[in-house]
Amino acid sequence: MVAPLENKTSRASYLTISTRDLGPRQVDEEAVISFPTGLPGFEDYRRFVLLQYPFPTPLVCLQCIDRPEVAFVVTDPVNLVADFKLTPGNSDLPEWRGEDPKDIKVLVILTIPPGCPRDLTANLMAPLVINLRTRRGRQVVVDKGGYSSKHPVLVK
Amino acid sequence: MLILTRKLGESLIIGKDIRVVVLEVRGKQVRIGIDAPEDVVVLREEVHQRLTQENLQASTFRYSDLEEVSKSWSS
Repeated sequence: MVAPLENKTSRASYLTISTRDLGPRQVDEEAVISFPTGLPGFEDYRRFVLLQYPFPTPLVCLQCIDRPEVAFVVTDPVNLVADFKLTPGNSDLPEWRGEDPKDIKVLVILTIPPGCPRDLTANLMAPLVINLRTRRGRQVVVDKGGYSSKHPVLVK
Repeated sequence: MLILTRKLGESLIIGKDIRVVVLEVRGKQVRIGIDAPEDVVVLREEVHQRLTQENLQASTFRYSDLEEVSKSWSS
């Protein structure tokens, strides 16, 4: 499970945001994650927040703040591949460099075909690396390890 | 498209802070080195296309499918 990233500090400065699926939400300003380069296909949207779904699930909502219609379903890759590893080159990223590994959160985006949810896949080739201290993130490409951008999640 | 000829070890400068250098030419393959600021995304074109497509598809999920996914996941 991914720990909630809301209410990380006591500084009470809340934003009211609109979400794609979860109605209006109040989020701590400190919970905002910025993706300075955006995500491929969504380069103009930089600010996101992680939200929990209101049912038991390994899924987490990555909601865009700049555009409420944009949200992704993400999960911790260890839910899929127990020994998921980034390549050494990835640890040279500005988000990562010199950081305590526990301040780095890695998540993968899930693709859930509408109406065929059991065919969902995970993009292990391009995980999101988030620095929890600086609240900056980036979608990186894992060159080695043979990870697929369409890793099947459920065994049929 | 701007087309330039470079020799091994020679570079190009794009803008004020991007440098592209030809490192090795081997048959039909060229190894290229890129120095770019951290906020510049550098990806192989086909990888960029795949990521763009995958992210666009990922954003089309139906919220109503998520509970089923969650139940199937744990079973």
